[in-house]
Amino acid sequence: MRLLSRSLFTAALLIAAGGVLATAPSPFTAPALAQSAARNAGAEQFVQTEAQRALNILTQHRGDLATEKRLFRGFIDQVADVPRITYFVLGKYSRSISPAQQHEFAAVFREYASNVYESRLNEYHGETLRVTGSVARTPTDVIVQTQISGGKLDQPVEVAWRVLAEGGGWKVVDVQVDGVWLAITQQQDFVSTVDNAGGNIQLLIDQLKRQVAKDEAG
Amino acid sequence: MRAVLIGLAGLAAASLWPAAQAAAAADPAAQIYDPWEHANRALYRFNDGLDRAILRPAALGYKRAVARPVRAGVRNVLNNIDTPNTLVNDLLQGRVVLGGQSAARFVINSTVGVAGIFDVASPLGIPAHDADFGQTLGRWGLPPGPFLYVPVFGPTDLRDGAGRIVDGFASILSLHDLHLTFWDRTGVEVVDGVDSRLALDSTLEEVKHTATDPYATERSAYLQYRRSRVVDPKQAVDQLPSFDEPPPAPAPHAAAKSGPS
Repeated sequence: MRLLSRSLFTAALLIAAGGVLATAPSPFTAPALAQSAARNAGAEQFVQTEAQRALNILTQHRGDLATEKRLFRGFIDQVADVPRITYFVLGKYSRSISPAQQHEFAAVFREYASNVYESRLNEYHGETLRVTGSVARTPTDVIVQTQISGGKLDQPVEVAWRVLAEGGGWKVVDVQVDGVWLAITQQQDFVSTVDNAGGNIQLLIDQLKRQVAKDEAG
Repeated sequence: MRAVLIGLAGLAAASLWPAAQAAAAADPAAQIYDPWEHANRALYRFNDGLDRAILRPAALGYKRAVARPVRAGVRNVLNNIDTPNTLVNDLLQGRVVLGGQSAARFVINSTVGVAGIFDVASPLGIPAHDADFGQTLGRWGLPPGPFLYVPVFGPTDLRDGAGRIVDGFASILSLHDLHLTFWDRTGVEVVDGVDSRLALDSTLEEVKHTATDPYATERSAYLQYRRSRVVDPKQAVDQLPSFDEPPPAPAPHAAAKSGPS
């Protein structure tokens, strides 16, 4: 069980906050990656700048959860490619979903994902993020390696950000902690759910709606 | 031991991991091989009940009963006990520098660190790392084989499950000169399990609360995590899925059932 490690929902928060929770170190991935392919300075700068913005929101509005939530929603819309992620997490079902269901899914997924990270915003304890390198899959698809340390972390944590070039800037599409990519995991969760519903995407949408309603009631 | 190794390697090699899976890695679903999913899900449900009734209460009881610094010391001792096995696997993987770090950590923490209670090696710039026999088999080229869900131990695969058994034999707790009984070793394993369950508590609770299919989520996270410890990092990056080109549409029989029910 130890092997599963503390990844998934740490990553959920990291996508919002630039990394704030304790997780096991991942000693093998980042340094080797950083040395193995061309770096991309623009993508690295983007991650460093935006992570600092996230940490500033958390530092300046500590204790004011309503303000933090509001500012973070705006922040996520700016730095993450929400439409692309929404499409990606449906996996093979993104090809068969109807336009009406696509619209319905996008709305509920946004609420669902926001609730996941917002529930953890108060767990920031002053950790900081430093870019350690990057690997360009293509000139417009880059993995930026970072190290998060300080705060309540016993050991630094390696976190990778996948960023895609878009409209002259960059957008985050996925985050990796301890070898686990958040959007890929989310895709496998949703695709398995729809598979087990005989391919009925509406059951996934309804389940997410119930989850959102429960979160907002509780 | 040799017979065990050969047997386990043969078992994993015979697990019929489809060769096409490696080629189709750009589709994340292709990296999941779970031919025993029906049985695994039953074991997952059984484990969930066991977890609610015994494992989680035991972990939370341990948290209440034992002060945080003491728990940290216990974790350090458990990690230190694992370090010789980490060293062996570092060397089996040809990672001499990491092996040197493991050796140094074991010597420093067992002596200056008072039998491993204090991790004095990390502040000295010799950080901890994991290595196990499942990882070694993977680095030697053995595929993971079918996914398995084992009650109490959680998610694994055939290769890592076999690796765990070998790690158990290879532990310094099995050294004849220590004269430990079966129950001594079991006691250490129980403490290790309780402490590990506690460390995972917030993650597992989040998965159960938020995932639409917690079994699939744990399976995905486990397989990605282990793959990251085995596959060459450059290859792993190259095999990431496209964000613009989704996998092929579902099979017609599944698609036919889609839409509002």
